[in-house]
Amino acid sequence: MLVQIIQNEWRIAWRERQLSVLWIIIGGLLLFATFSGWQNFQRIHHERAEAAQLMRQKWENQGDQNPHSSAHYGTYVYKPVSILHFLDPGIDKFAGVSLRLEGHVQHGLAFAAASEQSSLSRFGDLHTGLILQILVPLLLIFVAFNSFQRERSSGALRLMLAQGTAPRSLLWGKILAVWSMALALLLLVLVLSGVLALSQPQLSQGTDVWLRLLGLTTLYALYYFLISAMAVQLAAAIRQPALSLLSLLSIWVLSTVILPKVVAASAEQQKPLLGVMQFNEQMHEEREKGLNGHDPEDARSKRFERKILAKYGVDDPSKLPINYDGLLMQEDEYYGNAVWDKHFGLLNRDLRQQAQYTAWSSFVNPFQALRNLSLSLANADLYQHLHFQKAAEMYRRTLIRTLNEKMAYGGSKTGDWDWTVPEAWFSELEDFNYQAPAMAWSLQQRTLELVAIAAWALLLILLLWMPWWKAERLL
Amino acid sequence: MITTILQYELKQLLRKRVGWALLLFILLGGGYAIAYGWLNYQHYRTQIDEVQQKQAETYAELAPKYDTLTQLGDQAPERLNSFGDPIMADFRYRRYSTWLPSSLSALAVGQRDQQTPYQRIQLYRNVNLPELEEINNPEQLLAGNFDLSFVLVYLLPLLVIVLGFNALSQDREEGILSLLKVQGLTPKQLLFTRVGLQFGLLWGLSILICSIGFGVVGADWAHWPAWVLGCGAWLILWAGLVAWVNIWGRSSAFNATVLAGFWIVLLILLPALINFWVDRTYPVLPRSEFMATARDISSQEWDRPVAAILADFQKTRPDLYAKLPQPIRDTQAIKVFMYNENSMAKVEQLGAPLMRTGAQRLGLENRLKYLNPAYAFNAILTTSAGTELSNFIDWQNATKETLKQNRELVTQIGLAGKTFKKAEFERLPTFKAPPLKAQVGGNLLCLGVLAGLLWLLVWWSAQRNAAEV
Repeated sequence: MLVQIIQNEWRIAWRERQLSVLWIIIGGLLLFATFSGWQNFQRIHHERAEAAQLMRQKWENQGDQNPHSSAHYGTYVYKPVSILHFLDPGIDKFAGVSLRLEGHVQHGLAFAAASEQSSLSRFGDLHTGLILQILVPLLLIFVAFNSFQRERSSGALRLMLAQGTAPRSLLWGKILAVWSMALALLLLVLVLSGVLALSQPQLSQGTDVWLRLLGLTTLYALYYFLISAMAVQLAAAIRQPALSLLSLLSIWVLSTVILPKVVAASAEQQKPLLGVMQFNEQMHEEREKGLNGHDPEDARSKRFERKILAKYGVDDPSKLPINYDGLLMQEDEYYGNAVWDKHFGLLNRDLRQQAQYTAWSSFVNPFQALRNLSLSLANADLYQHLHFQKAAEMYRRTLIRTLNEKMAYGGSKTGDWDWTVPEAWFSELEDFNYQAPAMAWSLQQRTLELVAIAAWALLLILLLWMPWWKAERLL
Repeated sequence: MITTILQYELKQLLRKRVGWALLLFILLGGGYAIAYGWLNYQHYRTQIDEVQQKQAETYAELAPKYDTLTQLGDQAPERLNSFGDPIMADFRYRRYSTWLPSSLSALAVGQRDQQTPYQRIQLYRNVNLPELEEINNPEQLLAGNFDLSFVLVYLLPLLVIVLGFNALSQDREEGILSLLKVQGLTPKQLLFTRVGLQFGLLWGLSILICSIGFGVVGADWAHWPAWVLGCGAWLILWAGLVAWVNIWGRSSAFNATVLAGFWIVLLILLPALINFWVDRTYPVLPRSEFMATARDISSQEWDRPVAAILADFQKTRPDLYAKLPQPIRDTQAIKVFMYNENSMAKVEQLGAPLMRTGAQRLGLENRLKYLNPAYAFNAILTTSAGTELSNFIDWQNATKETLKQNRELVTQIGLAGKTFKKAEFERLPTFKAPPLKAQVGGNLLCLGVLAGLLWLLVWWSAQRNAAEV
């Protein structure tokens, strides 16, 4: 019976001209967005890979150099773009992509593309995620809103119920029919994405990409089930098709357009972030209290000097067998790192709290769960951004420590700022090689959203088992 | 007859619970948007105030020192010597160019939240390489702002749809339409009167909300007519769509589906497609090469022999070269100024395409606005609030000009081998904000033309479908 109901729903949907045209338009848009998203991904990927390569070349060809001058010269690293960017670019254009790494300072990521775009960009970009998140659910609403009205007005519903069709089976049949229509579109995207990903084997190596793709498909499938179940149940409960449509559209607008903005705005008000000037001033003030690698006369530097002199049993830095300046620079780094850890730690805590605030709203609005999980699975969310920032900072610290240690123990003497190491030595230093987090890590950050979307699915299934779904109610 | 319909419809609207619910919805939404925008603006304003205070503080701290330097001349204490050095004078006097959109930006955040609103005015600064980048939560930026412009651009059309989707179809479905026809009332009259009344009510409501918003945030009322007219034109466009769909003579559910489709197309699909077009035509240029090259230009330039720097300087800045006291004696002392001029000229040349791309993108978006009325309406709101990219570019250009003036002054004094006294210190340029360029006329015309064309289509369809209607 279930299969017959599903077949019948498909047949009706196909016969309705407006619906089939909408299907074709949305299917076409999905294909177009996926292809153009793929091209866009390739362009961005190449741009950043080339930029990273250029920086590495410059680093390796900096000539014979004093290690500390090299620390000041520094380098830039670029946030690599996830291959699933073509499905959901997430925060990519709103977040900085390049990070300057140098001695004495921890910088933030800079140059977000959105800052060079007009407010047209705030209307949204045409990408697969937008269509899957916004348009496909709308299509399901259009399919489902009068799914009972047709049979009510033609008398077929009464006939079906009289022939012994259980009301719940009818509901399930219609839900599965609407859901399967969404799954068909999803399958289209999945196949196309798989083919595109396979065309770049070097980027889709390993199981993580495929797991994420599978995760995204499962997530959207689950969300479409929620939409289908909700839409069909509402259509069954509300007799007037116009009212049923209006109710569904109101829910859609509220959940996809209004609530995400309201929640984001409230999160921002709950935990306002410091302005960059204030943030830097605070770090600068604390930094000033520490030792200054370039000022051996300050009190902390003097104390450190006494400690080193005592360790080596000499009374003047010039008598040390090593270059004291290198040690002082590194000590300066250790102090600076503690300051950066504190302030960037506080900033990241605030950012995470904002993210948690929006995560909790998933229990009210399943769209929020979908959006956050989609960003996370596409490796394009705030957590991944912070993960990159941390990895780059760890690399900076190792790099600067290596340079300072070379200065200290590489054979030069205190005060010998003209001492240089050959260019080849810089080439031997390991390049920054960012490993994006695995899917399990990403999902761990989004436990609330996972629980919320599962709870929503459970709730809608429970509603289907409620005793009020009787034949009289459907008629 | 029309007065009777109006009175009846008004009574009906007041009796309908859905009408009151909508009123509450828009008032709550508008109120929340105004409050959110105001708090957001206060937070932003505090940051700008801190920057401006810092500038005032350094001025207050430095001015007496330059008084002393001027009064005592060579007798000035040794500790003040470095204050006379042009580079140190420029460095110590912390001046900022600040992008300060008006308080109206509380109602239309636009691109304000994406930009760092201040830049240091200093010898070595380049407008394309800001010293600081504003701290933001990118997920919040992705979600967007719930400001009044969002309410007007996105939610207002929804109200038009909800009130008007069944303007004619409901009566037909309930069998009242034929009764009305008997009483000599044409469906066309009924439809236009209803849509007109709904338009009038919603425009009145939007005027009320805008006025409350302007009052609360203390905005310049000179922009109020632009907002009100913009809302009017936007509503006329949507009322036209509602009327047009009703004329087709289909069911209420069908009308609602089609109007929801129009909403999606005009507010999501078309802007996204045009954004896609603009992105493909003028992609945002990556800054990686620019940053790397800018950094290397500085170090390479510095490593060159002084004679080569001097020769280049003569070529690139003949005006400044002519002012050098002849014969040039201590080239080493003036190397830093020449080096700076040469490298800045090269860096600016490199940065020119970055600046150009923004303008090109805006140009294309502007040309495509007739396909994208939502953008035209949004641009009325954001440009009058001074929060659009075009306003930011104006600010960047003004900053560039101040940076140039600053460099000219410091370089001229440095090249002449002079030191800074009170007069020179006072001449150090501070930033003056460019006048606000609100792009209202063109965008209003665009909305007006589109609404006019649509209403012509409505009229023509009504004539053609007279029997059906």
